[in-house]
Amino acid sequence: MIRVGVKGEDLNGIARTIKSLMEANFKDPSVCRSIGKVKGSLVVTEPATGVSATIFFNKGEVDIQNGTIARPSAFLEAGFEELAEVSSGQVGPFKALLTGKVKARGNYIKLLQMSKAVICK
Amino acid sequence: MGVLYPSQEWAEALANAINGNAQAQELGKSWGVDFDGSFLFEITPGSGLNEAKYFYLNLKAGKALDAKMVKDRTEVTPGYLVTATYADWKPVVKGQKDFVEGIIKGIFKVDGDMSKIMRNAKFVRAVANSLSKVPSEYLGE
Repeated sequence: MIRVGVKGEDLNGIARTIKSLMEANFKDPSVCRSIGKVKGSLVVTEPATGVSATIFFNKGEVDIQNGTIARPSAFLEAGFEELAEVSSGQVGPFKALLTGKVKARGNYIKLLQMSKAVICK
Repeated sequence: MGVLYPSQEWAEALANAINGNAQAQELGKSWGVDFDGSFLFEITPGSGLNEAKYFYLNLKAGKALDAKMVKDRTEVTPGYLVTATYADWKPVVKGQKDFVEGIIKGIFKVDGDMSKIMRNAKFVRAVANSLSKVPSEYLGE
């Protein structure tokens, strides 16, 4: 099972939420196998509040911290309810992107790989 | 004339507000059905509150089954623990600030399975909106 490490200070709400989602997903060995191959970083921002978190994936080691970094592999911008719909599987990630529910930029292949960590089956 | 927040009377009024909210009941149909959907709200001192208060709310299938003040964290074993200061709770109970925004900013610390919260985010928001439906009075004001 992959454990999610915390970098820096006490996590903000988005970071705590994402950490909790990942810990639930990492109980699934198939998710761990997928994430174990991923190397990259993802910045997630809630646009209404501007609160962000950065997740680091390093082939089976996953860490999370508050705030953004300068050059992540990908950016994801989603409101709490939109993030809730995608992470809970109520809306697929492709549909969320196409309909503008979530905004993304950067390396889309890595984004889809990394998103497996936060989307619950 | 409102009821004092927090108090047993207030807890019961909130439960009635939730149970009278048809939208919450529709949105919360699957909440707490196959997991513990109860909350313990820890209200830490300040802004007129001298000691920590604990309010337990048991939600299941869109309804409030139990709402009561408890002595401390050990009296119940909730599915979720939500902690914030009285100063931060007051504007949310008044309807002036958004509870979900408070979670995002880390003002309200939530311990528990966030995947269930995310799956039922609209219900959580409907319950939070019920807070301001209770005419309330506040310590320190």
